[in-house]
Amino acid sequence: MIRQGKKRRPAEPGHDPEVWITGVGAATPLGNSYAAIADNLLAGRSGIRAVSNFDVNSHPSKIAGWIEPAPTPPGCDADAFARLDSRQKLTLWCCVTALRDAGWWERRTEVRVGLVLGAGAEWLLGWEEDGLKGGTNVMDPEKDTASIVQVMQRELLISGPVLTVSAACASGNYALAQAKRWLELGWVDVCLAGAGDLGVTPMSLAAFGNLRALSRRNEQPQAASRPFDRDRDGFVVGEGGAMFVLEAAETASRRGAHAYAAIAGCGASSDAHHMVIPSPDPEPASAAMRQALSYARLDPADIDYVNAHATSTPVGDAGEARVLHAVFGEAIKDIPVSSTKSMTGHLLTAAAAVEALACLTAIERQAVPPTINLDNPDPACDLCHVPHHARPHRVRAAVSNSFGFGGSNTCLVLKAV
Amino acid sequence: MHVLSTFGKSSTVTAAPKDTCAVVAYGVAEYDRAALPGLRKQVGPAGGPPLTPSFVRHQDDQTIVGLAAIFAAISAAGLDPKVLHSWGVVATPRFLGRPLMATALPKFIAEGAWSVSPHTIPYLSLHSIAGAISQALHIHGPNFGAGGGPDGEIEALLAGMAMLSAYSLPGVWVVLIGWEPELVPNATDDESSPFICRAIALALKPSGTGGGDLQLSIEPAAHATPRPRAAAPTLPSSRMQVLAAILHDRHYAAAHWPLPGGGLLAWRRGTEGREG
Repeated sequence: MIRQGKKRRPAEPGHDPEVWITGVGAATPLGNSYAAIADNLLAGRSGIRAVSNFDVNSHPSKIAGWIEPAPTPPGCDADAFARLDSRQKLTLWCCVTALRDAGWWERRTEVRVGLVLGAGAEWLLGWEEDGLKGGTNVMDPEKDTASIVQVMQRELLISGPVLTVSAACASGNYALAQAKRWLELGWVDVCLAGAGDLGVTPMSLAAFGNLRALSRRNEQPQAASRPFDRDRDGFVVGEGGAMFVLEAAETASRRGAHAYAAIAGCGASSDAHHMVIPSPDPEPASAAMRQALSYARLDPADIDYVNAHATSTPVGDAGEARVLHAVFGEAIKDIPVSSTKSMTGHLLTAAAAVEALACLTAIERQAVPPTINLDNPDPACDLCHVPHHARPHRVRAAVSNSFGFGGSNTCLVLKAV
Repeated sequence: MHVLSTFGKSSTVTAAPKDTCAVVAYGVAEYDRAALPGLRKQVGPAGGPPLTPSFVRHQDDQTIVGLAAIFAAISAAGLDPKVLHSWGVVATPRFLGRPLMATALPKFIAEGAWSVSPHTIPYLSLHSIAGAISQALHIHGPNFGAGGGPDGEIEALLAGMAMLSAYSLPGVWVVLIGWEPELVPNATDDESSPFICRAIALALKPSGTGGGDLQLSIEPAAHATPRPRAAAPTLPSSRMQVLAAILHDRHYAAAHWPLPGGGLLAWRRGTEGREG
């Protein structure tokens, strides 16, 4: 279905051209469409359950926000789709449904469509998937012929450049920032951007479990992801993806496209501290947030909602609370903050992309998704929480933080149009 | 696919570059497998102490060689490390983690979850090398991995060029790393074609900020027409070898890699048609 939005006036001459999000495609533990995911986010539903698609008897953490294989996208050949691997299927589903949502699917060969995909461990996961089925791709480089983005270029018939980016949990925000810049530079006419990860695998779940990063609340899967709660004991791995169609406001407006939001600002920095542990110094992450707000030409007090990175780890959640206080000052007491990882789990490389979707939900539905399982807020995380239930709230500008392994700090500002 | 050009006086390059940045410093590091353990113990800034054992212990070989290339670039150009703290980093390994996965997979199949190293994800993901570089050099600008497979070099160069202006950075490191030929786990070296881990570190700055013999630009369409001046040496075979050839060897002045809808051009400043 192609939605026709009102024709909107693009940015005034002399300002940076605006970039709008005009299409969304996604597959997450809360559903396979923007509408379903938005409904479930605002209903406070959990997509976390016991892992039952492989043996987890020897895994420390036996729960995850895992998803079923992506369905064949409309208009795609089922047999050809079946021959793709699981990551390619997920990405193709998200890309096709996003292009359809934006109204570009039938016209995608008329314009330069680029692709920026956040993907963190494409080859490791591919070798694992192949190896567990008895394959030997890891031993034979000649079998590693095409990356996901190259396969997408072929399957989608897109004619712009393609790029894989990886900054762990921050990948999706970097992908959106790159795509926005490509549009501003004129390298593409339309750009798909987002991220995907299928990290609920036997070895990946084991690796995170052995890192002692995961919740071991195996008997209560839906209560395990507890960002900001005093009793949080680690994150829950999730998987899925979200892809967005970005285009210049002028292009979108001229064709009467529906706009979810404008990408108003992107900020980024690095801790330069540790390969896993975030810096105890809030300044690098604060710098990323301030940069995003500056590019968006917004003051901290202009923000109506913060989608926190908060993964449900003892150290990370408290650290982010310090960052929010440093950036927003007194204003943080009145700005609702929630972590939708409480419902989806931590989608790893796809986290930032799915959380951008959560911000679009807040802007579109004028309601803030909750942090579920927030029974006893940690005093070290003194924020304006939204526990258990969504809150109707005027949301014109939303911030999404994503802070990745290796100390990558990113902040995305989305604005209503 | 690439075009490697030796330009004569009357260059046929006619299109004005649309988006250009300058390579103000570069470093190349090449190590065979026998040399890597020694490099791991000594990699660090020129004239300074090596990186600590705890930092290098779990890093992949590609990370170590990438760090060697960047330290070589800093030393060769006499860059002050302190001014790099606000730069960005883009790193593209090629098939990072293959050797470790080749041993970890059968071990997991035989022994189960406990056998999987917790260091796999922090050190062998596509983001890992860029993160390691930012730590080693105390770089607080943005950092991410790019590419990671075939064509990763092109992806990384595109990403680095866009990153420069996306975050208004004074500079960006783009580090390209890979095994050439691609490493086959458990294979012995062929004397005529040993496995070499190669890295090129490029320091990019916006064009016009001064310095930089090599320029990179995105072209709206393929304009460069090669015209060999004389019998050229053996053409390099990989993109990294092409870049190294342009950086080192005055026989080569430019290279062009087609992109959908255009191309990425690397050319030596001063080549006629490319002044300024």
